[in-house]
Amino acid sequence: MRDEEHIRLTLALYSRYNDYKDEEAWTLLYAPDAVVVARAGQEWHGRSAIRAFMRDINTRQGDRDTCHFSANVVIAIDGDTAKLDADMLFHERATVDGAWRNSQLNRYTADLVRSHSGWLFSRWMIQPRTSVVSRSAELAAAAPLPGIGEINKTLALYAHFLDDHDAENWSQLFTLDARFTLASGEITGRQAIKDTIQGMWANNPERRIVHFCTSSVVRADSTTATAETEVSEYEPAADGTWQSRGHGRYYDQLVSSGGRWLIQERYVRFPM
Amino acid sequence: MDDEDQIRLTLAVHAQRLDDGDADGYTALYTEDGQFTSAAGTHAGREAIRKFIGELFGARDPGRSSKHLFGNTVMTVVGDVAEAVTDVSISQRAGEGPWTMGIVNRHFDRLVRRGDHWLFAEKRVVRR
Repeated sequence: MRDEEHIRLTLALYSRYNDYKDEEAWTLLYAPDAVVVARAGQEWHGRSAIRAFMRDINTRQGDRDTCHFSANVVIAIDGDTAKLDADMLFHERATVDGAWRNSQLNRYTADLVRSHSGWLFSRWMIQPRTSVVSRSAELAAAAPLPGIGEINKTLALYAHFLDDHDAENWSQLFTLDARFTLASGEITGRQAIKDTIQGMWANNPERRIVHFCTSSVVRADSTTATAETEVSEYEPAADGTWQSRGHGRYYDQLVSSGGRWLIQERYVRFPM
Repeated sequence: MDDEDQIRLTLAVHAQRLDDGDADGYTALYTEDGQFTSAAGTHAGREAIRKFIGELFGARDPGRSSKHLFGNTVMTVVGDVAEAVTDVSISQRAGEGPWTMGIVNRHFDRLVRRGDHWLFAEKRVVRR
């Protein structure tokens, strides 16, 4: 299993153990001297404190049922350390018979260390997605991942930069001659694509939308690839929850360029 | 592509075909003797799964939309067999109304290698 897959497994187990309220298993996903930084900025140092933190949450929340649903996973690996940024849509309901709601949308910012054959969190920070201190550009510049890992990274970075309104880094994910097709028309060339997105943001600069990309059908050879990605858009609602604006699909053609994968063509089908 | 990539490909194609209502494409992701189990019972064999899923898709109310989000997959691969456990969040809406959270399921899958591909030998859908 590639390191990237091991790290994805650690992230998926984080959600699973959290939702099972299994404090012991959840705590063992952290290195002994790990640090957890919560949404409000509080810190917990070391496994004992981290376990106590989770136990306190589970005790206070009683029968509440949760699903920590993560997507837009960006991973960068450097030897025995790694960084992971991901978005997490937090589903919850007051009881197992209650109605689910999207109560939060957060950004995970995690550092990991290799431990035997797997990876553990050495630092874990969770922030509200709309006020995140982004390090996506740093992760984009890291050494390319092997296999289709770098394709997955490009697809996730697209959402990160788009939702951060970072037009420069976002546009760098496209080839110079890329084609970008929206319901409103087709745009050709990286600069024109960048100008278009900046124009769209300028029309409504305060609006914040999160593009939550889940499954991707990726088929690749050594230099070209296609990807079809499910995307759901969410925005904050008046009651503090996150409202879905709709669901769509990205149809991409990508090309390999110096170890990176760039979008040569993206057709946005939204809403479906 | 590694085994894990190929398995993720099967899972992602499954998600597409489910939302697209592609009954033939959906069924082709199962082995000939594959099993599908949900609250509606167990359907054994590709033919039975095709009949069940075809009726399910056919009964979809055109005035209602739904969307399945798949994520948090935990998978284990041993030789030619793999197990995957995936969270599935389902949103829905009536007509042009707002999307709302519907239900959350968990899919417990056993997949087997068939040549270069991985197919579902068993899928068990559990409502949370």
